Amino acid sequence: MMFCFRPKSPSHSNQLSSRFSCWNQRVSVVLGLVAILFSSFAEARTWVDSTGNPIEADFIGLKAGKVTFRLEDGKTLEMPLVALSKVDQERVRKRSFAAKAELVALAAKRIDAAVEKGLKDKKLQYNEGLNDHMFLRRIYLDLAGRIPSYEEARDFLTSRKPMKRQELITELLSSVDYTSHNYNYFAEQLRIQSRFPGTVLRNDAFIFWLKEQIQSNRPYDELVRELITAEGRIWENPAVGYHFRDKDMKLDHVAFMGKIFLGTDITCAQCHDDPFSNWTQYEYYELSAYLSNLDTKGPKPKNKAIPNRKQIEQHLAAKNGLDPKNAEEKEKLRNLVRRYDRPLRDINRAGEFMVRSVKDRPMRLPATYEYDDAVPNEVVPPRVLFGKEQGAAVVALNPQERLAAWLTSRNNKRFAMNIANRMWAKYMGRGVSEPLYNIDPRKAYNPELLKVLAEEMLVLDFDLKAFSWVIVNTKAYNRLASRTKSSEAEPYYFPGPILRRMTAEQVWDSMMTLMLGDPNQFQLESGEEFNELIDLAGQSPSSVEAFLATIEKYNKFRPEQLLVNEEGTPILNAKLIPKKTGAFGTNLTRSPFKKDGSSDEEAMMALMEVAKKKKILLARASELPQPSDPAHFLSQFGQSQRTFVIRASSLEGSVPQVMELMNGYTTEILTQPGSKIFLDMKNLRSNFEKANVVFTSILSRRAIGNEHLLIDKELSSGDEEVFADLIWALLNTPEFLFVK
Amino acid sequence: MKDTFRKFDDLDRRGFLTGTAAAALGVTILPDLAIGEEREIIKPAAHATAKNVIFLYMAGGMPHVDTFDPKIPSEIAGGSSPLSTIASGLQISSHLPRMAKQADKFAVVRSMTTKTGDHAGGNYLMHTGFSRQPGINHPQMGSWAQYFLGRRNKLIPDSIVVGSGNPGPGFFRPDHSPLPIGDPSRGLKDLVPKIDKKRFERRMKYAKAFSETFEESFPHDDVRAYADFYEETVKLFDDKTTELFDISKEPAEMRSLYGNSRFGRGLLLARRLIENNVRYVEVQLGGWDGQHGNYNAGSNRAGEMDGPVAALLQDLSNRGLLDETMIVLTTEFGRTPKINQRGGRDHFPKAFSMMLAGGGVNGGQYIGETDERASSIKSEAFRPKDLHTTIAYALGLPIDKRVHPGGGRPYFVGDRGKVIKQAFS
Repeated sequence: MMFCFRPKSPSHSNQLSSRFSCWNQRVSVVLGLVAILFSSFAEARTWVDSTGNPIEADFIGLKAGKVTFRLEDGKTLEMPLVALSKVDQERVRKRSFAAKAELVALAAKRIDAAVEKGLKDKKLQYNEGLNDHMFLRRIYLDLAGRIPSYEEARDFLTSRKPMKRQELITELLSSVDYTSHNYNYFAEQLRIQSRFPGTVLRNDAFIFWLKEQIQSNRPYDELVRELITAEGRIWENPAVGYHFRDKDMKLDHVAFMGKIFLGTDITCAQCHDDPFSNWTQYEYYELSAYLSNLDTKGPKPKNKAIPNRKQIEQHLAAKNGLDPKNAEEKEKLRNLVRRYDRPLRDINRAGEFMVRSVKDRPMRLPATYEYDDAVPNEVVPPRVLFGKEQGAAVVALNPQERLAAWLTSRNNKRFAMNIANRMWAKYMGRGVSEPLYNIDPRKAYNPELLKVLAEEMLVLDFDLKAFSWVIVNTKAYNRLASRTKSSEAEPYYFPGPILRRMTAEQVWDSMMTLMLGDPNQFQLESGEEFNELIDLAGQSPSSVEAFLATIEKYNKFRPEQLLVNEEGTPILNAKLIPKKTGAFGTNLTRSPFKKDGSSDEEAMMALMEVAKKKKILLARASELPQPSDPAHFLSQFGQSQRTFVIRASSLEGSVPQVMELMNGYTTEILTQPGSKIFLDMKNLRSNFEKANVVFTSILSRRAIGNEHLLIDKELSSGDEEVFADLIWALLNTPEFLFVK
Repeated sequence: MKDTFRKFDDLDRRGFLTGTAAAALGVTILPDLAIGEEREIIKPAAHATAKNVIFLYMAGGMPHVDTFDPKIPSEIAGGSSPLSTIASGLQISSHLPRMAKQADKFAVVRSMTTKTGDHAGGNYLMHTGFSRQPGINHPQMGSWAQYFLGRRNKLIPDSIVVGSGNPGPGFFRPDHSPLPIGDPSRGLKDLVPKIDKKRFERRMKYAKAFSETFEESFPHDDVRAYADFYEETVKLFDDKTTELFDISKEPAEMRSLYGNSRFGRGLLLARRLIENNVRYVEVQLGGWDGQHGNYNAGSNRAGEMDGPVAALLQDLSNRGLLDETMIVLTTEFGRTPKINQRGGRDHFPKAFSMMLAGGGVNGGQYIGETDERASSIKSEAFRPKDLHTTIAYALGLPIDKRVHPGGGRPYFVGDRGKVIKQAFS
């Protein structure tokens, strides 16, 4: 029944019969899936390398960062991916993703078998299937991190294409929405904050870099290796953001690493042998020893072109005609110079922050070490937690490289198992083994399923996009969420996903979609602008005057400057206009407003202006300051404060949340005539059709059954007020907040 | 709102509230998801002397010499001189004449010290008991109390902060967050929907109608918990609830006792809330900064503090609430004893003062002392974490119990400070 969606038949009392009835459809769907993918990626055979030279060749494959081509003469050519032009790197990524269609189909089939065996053993059955609107909403929330816009929902629901679900999946997998959504996912695990605590640095470069990795579908093992082995300054190598996050807390850093990359909790062993698992304090220190020589502070960069304080003082004295010998004028001068003290200190310090390897800094046991196997302060050599390092090959590597090699090795079963289990949990609401940060294959709800997931992760070479593609094609995923709550203590056999409240980011991004149509209008830049200001070594001012101008810019820098639209206009200066979005996410640039500046437009603009004044940035969560302020919508809905790994975010309700949905700024905008929902119903005559716009916008479906009666009765006046009330009401239903 | 919701006093409803929904409100035993560990609601320890806390925060650095640690030398005293109070042996600054008449009710701690000389860092430290650590938010005392003792109040939140932003729940769940109130005179008005009541009821009626199908097909605890949060929120908008927050309902003589300043109105609101079973209220008096070049800025603030705090002490005592309500008046740091060249006082975290009253605190005494120049501590010194441990102790919270937020390293309420035992004897 692979890829066989049965939207209109909710019960599957007999798996066998439905399997047969579905058989033909299945074969054609698999073939169709492969066909669609290849056709959508079919392209010319000319490639361009990074120097602009053309290569005539057929693409064969991409593995371990190397592309293989077949040349016209039949010979194969292998080259590093980065040796291709940027555009073609992207093409290759897409091609290699598409080439996996068959692997994806097979993986989904194996997973189905494992899930079904688990269900059968317990005499359980799958939940009922998903109809079009349920599928639509879920797939948008899971792959794009937001609900579909009105146009996207309408077009999908009315489409008669037989393969529309598959088409939507591949569309969303390569959307910018996918990047935004998955960035949030990793940002929570890596606890990314917009600023590095304890430094003057900003994290935008790392944030931008991570989004690029997600966008280009960098294999997960490669990504993790790069994080662990990164060295340099943030503007030289953004990946150092990973080590900077835990600057001056190396032991904690190692514990976090264990939880997120290995699903292994060694936290307790930091201070004492862990009575509940096998880890000893000594082993903790052995693992940490790989990072003992990693420093987050480098030498002070020197740049003779930069004026010192004295030169600045002289410059300002001359410029303002102040005589330092006169006491009063000296005081004035001092005040002038003082203005530059702090930025000067910041700039001087910024360059010191670098991740680098130093020599001769072995890991030592703490002075309080109290076990018999070693003495306090003893030097601990690096040793892996389990398994072993890969023989002679590691000798040439530095300790971080050795750690990364062991951690991400295909032989390290826990690495693949951890990410496979986490990805499963991401889509199903529950891992096969819980808690995610400390998994135990023996205690998994369905050990066979966990094993299969881990194996398929390896088959797909840690391609998370392909792995996501697998999961959303499993039968379990394509079933309704379970209707009642099951606690983590009880086993769960995946008759369907768990019912989940949207994450804070999903709620916010959905609000942005309702408000803006295209919520991706404003995106965070790479932070280059800021880094250029504080990169001392990179500066060569022509004069003291020029240098002071740089400092003035530094003083005036505001993070919101980095949030810009396609034209590069910062959000606080830009016109905010809702955009209509075309079928499956393509933007129509035409504004829904009339050119003449109708009163609707004015009303809308006025609302958006208020947002600007209040510094409410109407952009996706992935582009906003992180973590959000405690009073922000995102925090109210439980966005992670990016402090802890475990349960960092919350899906629990609260009174302030409800107030936010009732009286908050987003609800206020959406209920105003002039909001996008109102614009979308503008030219419709019947109340019934108008109500359907509201339903489709907010709940991704049309009104059904009894709802019609209510609409007929209550909306008969048809004035704006009752429609505003209807919008308000739907935003305040559980159907809006929960992902079924 | 009758038809909008099933009534609270409906039997099924009540049964439900004590079951799953109550769990969502944090009043029964449940695994705390934010913390990732099982926890149990406990009873306050037997030694508990306080049920409520009013936390008065002097934002910006209150000069100890001009308030609770007056000195004689003129280059230090500024315009302040020691004033005898009704408590023998306890002198406070002449800027606080009304408090002097209530001095039997409060104790002064003169040996506070920190190493944090910046406003933001000191503010954080004094509000949580913890030094700021990169990327972690520690909860404030109201949230700790709710975490250990459970939610006390079904109708209104257990912690309310007046005029000091939104501190959030720290590392606890969102429902442990204090409710922030901006203007004490407006009470809940800023939170109540700005549409007329009829229309609000209509909206709620629609929401309810359009929720029915979903709620029926997903009889799920999390969905029910949301229904309850809606109910709870709507109750907050109820006239009866908004009245609890409405100080205009206080008699005129009460309002004039507390005075018409924002701080005074805040204290009146605090008293009203405590009377209505709120556990923890914070009120801020800002503007203590700006003293660097202006001595008067500090002394004016002291004058503004004096009347309302005296009123609060007297009023709580008259109502018999002072015994169970601990009042803490503190600040991020003191101010340099010596008046600087610009005629003001600079930041001085090395030695400063705070005030404790009620909730078991023995009034009319001072604890700890500074030298005659008010610049170094001559006795046992206390840190912000000692204050927090002391409050936790008075509330009967388990100060030795580890809490592992996010499964990480353990934290203790009060960060393993020491109890200021003298306050209770």
